[in-house]
Amino acid sequence: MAAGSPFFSISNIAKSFHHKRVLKSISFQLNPGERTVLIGPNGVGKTTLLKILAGIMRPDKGTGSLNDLPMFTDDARHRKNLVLWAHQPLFYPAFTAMENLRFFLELRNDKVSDEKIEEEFVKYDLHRHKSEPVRIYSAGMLQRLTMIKLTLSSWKLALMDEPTSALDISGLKQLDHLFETWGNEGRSILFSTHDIQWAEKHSDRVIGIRNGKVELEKSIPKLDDFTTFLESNS
Amino acid sequence: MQLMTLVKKEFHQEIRAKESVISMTVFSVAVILLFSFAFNAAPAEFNKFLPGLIWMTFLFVSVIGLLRSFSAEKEMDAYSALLSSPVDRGSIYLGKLIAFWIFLLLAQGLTIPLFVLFLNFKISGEWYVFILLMMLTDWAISGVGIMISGMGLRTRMGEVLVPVLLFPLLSPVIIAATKSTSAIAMGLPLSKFNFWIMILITFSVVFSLVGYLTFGAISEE
Repeated sequence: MAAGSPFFSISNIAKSFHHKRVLKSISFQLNPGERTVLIGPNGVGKTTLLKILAGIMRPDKGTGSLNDLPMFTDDARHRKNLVLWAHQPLFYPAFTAMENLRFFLELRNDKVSDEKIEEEFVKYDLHRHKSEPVRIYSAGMLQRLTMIKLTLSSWKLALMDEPTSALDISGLKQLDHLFETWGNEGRSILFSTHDIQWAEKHSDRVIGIRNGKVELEKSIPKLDDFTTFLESNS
Repeated sequence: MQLMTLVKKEFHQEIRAKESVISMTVFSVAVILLFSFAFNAAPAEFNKFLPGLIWMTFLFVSVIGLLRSFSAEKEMDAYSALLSSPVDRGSIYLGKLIAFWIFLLLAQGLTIPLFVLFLNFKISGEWYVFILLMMLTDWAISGVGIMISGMGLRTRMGEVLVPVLLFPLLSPVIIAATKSTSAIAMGLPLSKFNFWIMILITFSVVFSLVGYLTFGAISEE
């Protein structure tokens, strides 16, 4: 695993909803190629944090930088280095798979040939459905389309909110492979999951959030690290 | 470049889903037919308040279109993908504004002949002046409307928020457009209604700028 100096850091991120402080002060750094899992019980603010990092939500306070570009400002340049995998598929339902990919790649200014896109459609067994509107896709097909979108985009940090939640066994295998490939390419992944067995196998580092703060930070985590942290919370 | 991609996406979306222009046009036709059956005034009397009826109709029509303008973003939360893309929020706003402005003009282009046919709407002056007035007024409506629709997207009361905020905010625009339309219908020179045109220009410029600069704060959760 290639790991170097931090290319991503956030400091003192705070966010409240209706006077309830969900995130009080979150700070951490990520190294290139590092696969980091965010853990914590439901409602602790994992999705909120990922949304803040993706630029969907604005923090009440805090600073951050990605690849030396400031985050949480009106400057959109840092988002060229980001991709998002959320609970929802993040596609336009009336567009075909091909049209969705073309639109998002064009918006990111990622130049990808039609042949390369075709190749990925075949690899993920979606080539027969590429001209159908994604509205009629199953949840699994949408997840595979998301994998294609992330594979074809150029980025340095993937933010993934419970990526394993709707995947079947073959989808999980494809995701396993992608995690390996992206890690080896020096791309970083920050993901949340409740599947601690899967997380143990696929993470180089764990960050545990509790009471709005980072209360666990450990490299090469073992299953015990996850269970101890999560059980001590209950 | 990104702005063009966003505008193209809006057109593509409209061609696929056929939601905005058709629903706006159908609503306009229904309102025009209702007006033509409901009002039985003498033509001279009717012409006095016809400009107001025209712009009230277009105000309601714009609400229908505005409610649809963000609906495709919600269904699979494509809006979050837009916000997490390396594109500035102002461009998202401008893309939506330009597309909606054209959709509104298209819907009006299809319904103005019906105002002429069913309600005897007549222009004594030049038609092109009225078309320019429509373009200007529609820009003002779109500038305010897209900003408010963007606010409504992230709130549970979004569909109520659009008309509740839009109608009072657009009152000066509708009044200015009505006064200008009356003047154009009577064939008066520009000098007789340039005050109202200045209001429309000011409104268009100010709200487009406000929308462009604040859309980041408006659109984020």
